[in-house]
Amino acid sequence: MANNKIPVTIYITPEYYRDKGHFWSRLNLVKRFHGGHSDQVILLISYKYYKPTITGRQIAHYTEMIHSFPHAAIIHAEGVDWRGHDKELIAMGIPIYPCEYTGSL
Amino acid sequence: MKSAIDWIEEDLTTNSSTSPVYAPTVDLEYEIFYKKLSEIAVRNIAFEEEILSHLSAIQEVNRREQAAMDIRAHVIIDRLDKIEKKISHVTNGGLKEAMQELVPVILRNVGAVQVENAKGVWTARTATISGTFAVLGGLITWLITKFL
Repeated sequence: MANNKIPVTIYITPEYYRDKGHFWSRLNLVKRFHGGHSDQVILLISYKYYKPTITGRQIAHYTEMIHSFPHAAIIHAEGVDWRGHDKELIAMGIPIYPCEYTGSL
Repeated sequence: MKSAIDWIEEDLTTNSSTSPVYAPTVDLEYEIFYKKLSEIAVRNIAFEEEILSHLSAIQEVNRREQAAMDIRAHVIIDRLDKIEKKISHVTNGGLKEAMQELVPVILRNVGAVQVENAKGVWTARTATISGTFAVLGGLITWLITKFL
């Protein structure tokens, strides 16, 4: 049940696509924050402030992320150029919401 | 209320000559400057919202843990209350005291307090045996004083 999960939002910024290793350093920080109760949280990846073109590399990032945080979703997805990768994410069990997260505590 | 990003985006669309404060001479410089400023503003607002999300989540985790602890505490109190009611009719002081000493052992046995390691199990067993003997001793003393 995703509805009783605690939402934790990560905002994607240009640094994620520009700085090498930025994703991993951020993921490690989030793990330190919520690693102890990762089963209780739902990690929301927000594209509110940046609308990139999704590549295969980003999908690999999501695959890695789902190992640490089994409950995840993508929000503010409207305007992102998915290049067909959105289907892969849905198949991985990561729902995609065009605007806000529709679940609740 | 307008955010920093709104101000920057609005200003980018207007003519630079209308802004007396920021009026770079070259258009390219102007664009680079505002692009950088816009990036900083985006990063700051994203960071602010993200950190608030983390804090809020940690607070919610703590609240849920506290609620679970409260439920466990209530279960223990209820069990103690039931035990107290069951032994309240005992008038013999020694016997009653010995029975009360058994309360932590009873609580352990019903699973209110988890005994996880070998030392804990050994302590619980010793307490059960000594507690049982204490109750029997109290009972015998009471019988002797009553019938002899």
